[in-house]
Formats: sequence, C-alpha cells, structure tokens
Amino acid sequence: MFTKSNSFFFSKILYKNIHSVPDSILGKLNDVVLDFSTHKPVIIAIEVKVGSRMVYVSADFLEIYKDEKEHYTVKLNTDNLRMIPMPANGFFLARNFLDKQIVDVDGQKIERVNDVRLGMIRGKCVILAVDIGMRGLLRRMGWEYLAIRCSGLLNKEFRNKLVLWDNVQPLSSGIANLQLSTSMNKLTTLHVADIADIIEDLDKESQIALFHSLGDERAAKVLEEMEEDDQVDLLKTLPDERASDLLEIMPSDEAADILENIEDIRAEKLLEQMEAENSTEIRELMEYEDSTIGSVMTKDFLAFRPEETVGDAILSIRENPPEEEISHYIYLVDEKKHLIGVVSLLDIASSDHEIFLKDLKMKHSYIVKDEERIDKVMELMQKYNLQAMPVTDEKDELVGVTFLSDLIHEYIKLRRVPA
Amino acid sequence: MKDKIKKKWQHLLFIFTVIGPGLITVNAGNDAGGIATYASVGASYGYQMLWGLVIITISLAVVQEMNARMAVVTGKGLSDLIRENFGVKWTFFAMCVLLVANFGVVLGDFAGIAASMELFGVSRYLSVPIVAVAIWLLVSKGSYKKVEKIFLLFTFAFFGYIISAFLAKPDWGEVGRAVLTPTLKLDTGFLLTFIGMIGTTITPYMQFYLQSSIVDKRLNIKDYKYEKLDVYLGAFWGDAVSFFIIVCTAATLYKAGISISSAQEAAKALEPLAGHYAFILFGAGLFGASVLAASVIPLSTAYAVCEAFGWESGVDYSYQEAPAFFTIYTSLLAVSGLLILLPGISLMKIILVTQQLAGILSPVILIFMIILINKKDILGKYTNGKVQNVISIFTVGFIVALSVIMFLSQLI
Repeated sequence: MFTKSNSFFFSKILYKNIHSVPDSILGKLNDVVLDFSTHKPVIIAIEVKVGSRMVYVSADFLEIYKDEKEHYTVKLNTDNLRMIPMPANGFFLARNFLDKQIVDVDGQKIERVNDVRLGMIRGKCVILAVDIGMRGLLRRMGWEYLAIRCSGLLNKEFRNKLVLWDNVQPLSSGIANLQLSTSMNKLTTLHVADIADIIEDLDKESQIALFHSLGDERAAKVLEEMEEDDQVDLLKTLPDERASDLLEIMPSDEAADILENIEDIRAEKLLEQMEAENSTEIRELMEYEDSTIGSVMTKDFLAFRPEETVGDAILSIRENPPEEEISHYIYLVDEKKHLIGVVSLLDIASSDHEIFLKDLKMKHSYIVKDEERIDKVMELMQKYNLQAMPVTDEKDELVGVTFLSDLIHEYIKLRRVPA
Repeated sequence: MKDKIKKKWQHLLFIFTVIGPGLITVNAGNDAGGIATYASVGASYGYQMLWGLVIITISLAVVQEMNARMAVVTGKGLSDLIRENFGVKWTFFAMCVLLVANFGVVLGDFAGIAASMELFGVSRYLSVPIVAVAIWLLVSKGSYKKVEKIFLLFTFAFFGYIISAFLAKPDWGEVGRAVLTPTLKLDTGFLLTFIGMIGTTITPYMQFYLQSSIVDKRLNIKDYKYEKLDVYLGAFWGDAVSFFIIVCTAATLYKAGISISSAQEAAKALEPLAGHYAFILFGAGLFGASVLAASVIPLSTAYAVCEAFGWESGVDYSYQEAPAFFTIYTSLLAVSGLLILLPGISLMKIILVTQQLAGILSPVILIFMIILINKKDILGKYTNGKVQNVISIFTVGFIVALSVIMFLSQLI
C-alpha cells in the first residue's frame, strides 16, 4: 500500500521513474533545480530524462509515495503537465550539491554531502537537512537495509548523521554559480579564528569564493588569523584594490608581516594604493628585522600631550575609536615625542573632565627599544606582569606599543619548525 | 641592481620548490616492485622490451602532466574529483581498485624489505615486524618527514645500475635496435612481464599521490609551466634509471642465462661495478626504496579513501577522531607484513605478481582521469588537447588489449 511521504531522502527518488496522470511513465528523475533565495532552498523544477533527452517540468505538482517496504514512487499529480525551458543559472541538486563539500557551521567542520533530506512544506519540496553520515553513504550504495540488519544483530541503532539546513554553508564548487552573498553566508556567526581554520582546509576555489563573501572588516580579521602560507596564497587571488583595502584595515604590524612575505613588486603596488598615512606606517614597520620588537609592535596607540585635559582625551577617543586590541593605557608625550608618562584609561574614565592629563596618577612605565629582541621583551613582560609596553626608537621617540598577545603569537610562529 | 639579483635568486629558489613532487613520485615508483620487475625484464628477455619502456615513459609523462594540470586548476585531489563527479557507487569501485592495487604494491615492498635484509643475513621474521612497527610509529607520530630523506638517499644506490650498465659493455647498437623495433611475443610469461613493467611504471597510487602533493603546494596557474617541467623531468629521469636497470641486467644476467628468482641473483647485475660487494649496494638500495614506498603508499591510500568518502584524515588526529584513516593505514601495513611471513612464500614472485596486478588495474584509474580531464565544467580551457587524449587513450587501450590477450592465451 502506498502512502504519501512528507519527508524523504533525495537518493530515494533520484533516477526513479516519474509517473504522470493518467498513470504513465514520463521518464526518469535526473536532477532537480533549486531556488536558493528562500530561507530553505525550494525545488522549483525537475529535470526529466526521456530517452536520451532532458526535459524540464515545474515541481509544483510533485508528490512522493512510499510503500511499507520503503519503495518510493515519484508522481506529478496534474493532468495539465507542461514543459518549461531549462532554468537559466539553475542550481542542480545532484550535479552541484550532492557529493560536494559543505561547511557544517555548528560542528565547524568541512563535510561531504552524502545525501539530502527533503520535505514537503505547504506543497513545496524543500531541503531540510544534509546527510553527512555513514548511513547516507550506504544508502547511496543500496546497502542501507543490509547495514541496519547487521547493526540490529549487534543490538546497535544505526543512526543518520544529519546537519540541519540552518547550519549548512554550501561552497561554490565547479560550475555551481551559487553566489554567496554576505547575508547568506552562515559562517559569519563563527569566530574569525574558526573561519580562518575552515578556509585554510578548503580547496582554492571554495577558499576564494568564501573569502570574497565576507565583508571587508571580517575578511581582514580572518586574514589576520590565517597561517602565513595561506595568507600569501589567498592574497595572490585577491584583486589589488581589495587586497590593499584589507591590509589597511588590519593592524599595521600584521599588514607589514604579510607584505614582507609576498613578491616585492606586488607589495609595492599594494602600498601605493593605500592612504599615505597607512602606507608610511607599514613601510616603517617593514624595515624592522623579523625577530625584533619593532616588527610586531602596533603604531595604533593613544598618545596625548600632558597639557591636554581628560575631556580632550575622551572626546578624541570618542571621535577616533581605537581598535579593540588596544592597550588600556594612554601615553603622554612631549613635543619631541619623548614619552613622559603612562595613564590608565580607567583613571581617565573616573576623573573630572577639567583635570590636566599631567596631573593624573602616573604609572611606572617600562620602555623597550624597537631593536630589542622579541624573546627578551617577553621575559620583561613576564617579570613585571605587563600586558603592553611602549616602544621607542634610537632618538627616544615613542614609535609604537607592543602587546603580550601579539608577542606570544609571533614567538610561536618563529619557533615553529617548518614541516 | 642588488635587488634585481635578489629577485633572480628568489625566482630560482621558487622554481626549485615547485620542482619536487614529480621527481619524488617517480623515484618512489622505483621501489622494490620496480627494481625487481625491471631486473627480471632484462634478465628474462634481454633488450626485447626496451621499446615498450620508451613508449610507456611517454604515456607516464602525459598521464602525470594530466594530474598536475588537474591539481593546479581545481586545487583538488584525484579522489575528491572522482567522488564529486561520479557519485558514491563509482567512487566505491575506484577506491576498491585503488585499495587492491596499493595493497599489492605494499605487499611487494614488504617482500623487498624481507629480501634485502636477507641479503645481509637478517631473517625476515625479524626484519619485517621491526620495520612495519617502525614505519607505523614514524608516520603516525608525524616524524616521518625527518627521516624520509635518509631513505631517499638509500635509493641513490640504484644509480649504480647506470654505471654498471656501462661497465658491462653492452652492445649499444643492439640496444638501439631494440628500442626502435617493437617485439611482442604471445606467450603468457612475456605478456605478464610486460604488464608488470607497465604496472610498476604507471602505478595507480602514483596518480593519487602526485596530484595530492601538487595540490598541497597551492600553485597558481601562472606557475604551472614549472610544475609541467617537474613532472616531465620526473617521468624521464625515473624511467632513465629503469632503462639502465634493464640494459644492465640484460648485459649481465640474460647473457649468463640467469633468470631472476631471488635477490641474490638480482644483485649480480651490479657486479661489474661493485664486484663482490654488489649485494651490499643492491641490498641497501632495495631496502631504502622499499621502506620509502611502504611508508608513503599506505598513508596516501588512507588519505585518498578518506578524502573520497569525506572521512576525517590526517596523522594529527587521534584514532577516535579519524578511525577510518587509522584503520586503513594500519591494516595495510599489518596485513602485508603478516602475509609476507607466511612460510614457503617466494619473495621475488610476490614482488613480480603484485606489479602485474597493478598493471592490470591501472587502466581503471586512467579511464576515470581521462573522463575527468575532458570535462569543461571542471577544467575550463585546460581540458586535454588532441595529442594528450590520443596518447592517454592509446595507453589505456594498449594495457587492456595486453591483459585480454594474456587471459586468452592462458585459456588456449
């Protein structure tokens, strides 16, 4: 006895005969075309193989039946069946999605699509979930029930491993002209470090597509989190304009690091496209040797003159909000840029606006020279329990600030043995 | 000016880093199976099969170039591409073929390890288990890369064949004639040896291994010309060594009427160079090559199969995280190691038969490759040209025809 099925696997209907009204066989279901613009992708058309020819029909009247032995029947329940032209830029489920890679956003892993769970919702056939498990593989092989019986003998339940569509991020593969718009990109909910890990594991093409779908701010952060080699590879694929934009968004020490690793000609080109202020900063950082503190310090720090007031400082910070990763201190410098004091941001926040900065309580400040070695500075920071240290050059001018977190990052990189 | 020179050096350095996968792949292809097969080709049939080697060298170069092109254009491994374009059932079939062929090759390599150590008087019951466990530990603990070069160094012993070939003073005129005049005998022994020679030269695992290692380099299509150079160079250089092994054994063993049934006999071909120490040279080379291949092939098999089915893979994972990966890799090592220890097995025979098996199976993977590389939606404008298609399809047809004739000749 056949009953209508409202939830089934794609492999159960793929290459099955399509029955039409009155009962005759139209052809074989060769593939289905999806509309990706909705929350859950909807099947809008069916590719039918009639003899050796492909024809297309609307999926509006698609009905799926199954008997008690789980044999499936595909039916187009209309007496007014019309052919439609092949949907332009159609996204085909079997051709462009099945067997391809996706990102399981929940598990933060790249997986392969073994099967697709479809469901009938309000007369439309939509993708509910993606099967990434062993059972899906066996189903495709036609061995699912055999496997279930075997695991039954072992008293084990053989479960499906599904990823709900909400957690599936498709990747563009081959001709799949699936445009990953920023709004559609489910990866944006992940931490940038996790996105970086995923992108590093992808093939070149998906890597580029996925990266391009990230907004500039996020893309810059992801790039920052990636391994050196992957950064360089990815940068090669970006057009000059986007590449220089991203580098400008990044902290200048990171940008300098990356630029040092790419071809000199390209680096020069990218630097020329930046705003003068940014490019000079990066160029200065690029001058430093790899193992010195100058190469990892940031030039993005808060410096004020001692005769400015707390109010001036707050106003300036409000107008030019610094990067998240900024020290909790502001630095007071004289007209020759010599460091004369360090004030905690906490003190600023809790003081009256009229007070001059020089009258606030000064922290004792340890200063390092820009040519100092990274490991030496780490020792100092560890000894005095510091999160950040101001950096001066040979003329004693304050040129940057270095953070412990950046140093640890750099230190691990320097020590890593090349594979 | 100084910058310009620096540029040049950087560029040169870059070319050197690109060149590598092709050379290493083919050199690893000259493993126990390769050495034994080429040696028996020369010892049993003299120069008669040299023409065949020249032809399959061209095939090998074309096939490997196809791998390189797929790697650079798609950035994906061969088993990835098979899965994405042929579906689960065909992938399962391809992976079964790969598993069987690779299992054979690993078995052959363990036979090589046993045979080489027996030259030095070490029992196989000692050498095989120790080496198998050592390989397992080295690879799964991730320190394999550090010792790989040592084994690679061992294989330089086979360059001894080139010198030995000259010292044996072969009749170069005859060699030249043999290269230019194809001879094919319709007896089973000849055909099997011929298929074995093809199998060890165009081994199925090489296609997977080479493509993955080029993918790992993440080359741009712009740098593809260097990679092309690498695979061509690799194919010709690797087969040049094979060529001299055949010439050398033909000039020594064939002349003396010795057909190879043991490693001792195979080592005799190096006597013009090393005299009584020939067995040391041969043993060291055979050992290095076998260990190298026995480390690389189980690993590359496990990667290929897991990639195809979307299972977790990599030596960085634990067994719980990547059970399939470790199971495939470990059982390939363990089963081949144990089989070699079965009493009464002829090591030489095992080595030769496994290469013949690989030869018979190699067209399967080649057919997948030819279909893939002609798909416009995968390769775009980098699909195969006419010449490449003719050569690769001819190769497949030739191997299939040989296998069919061989089976028929056995029936008659």
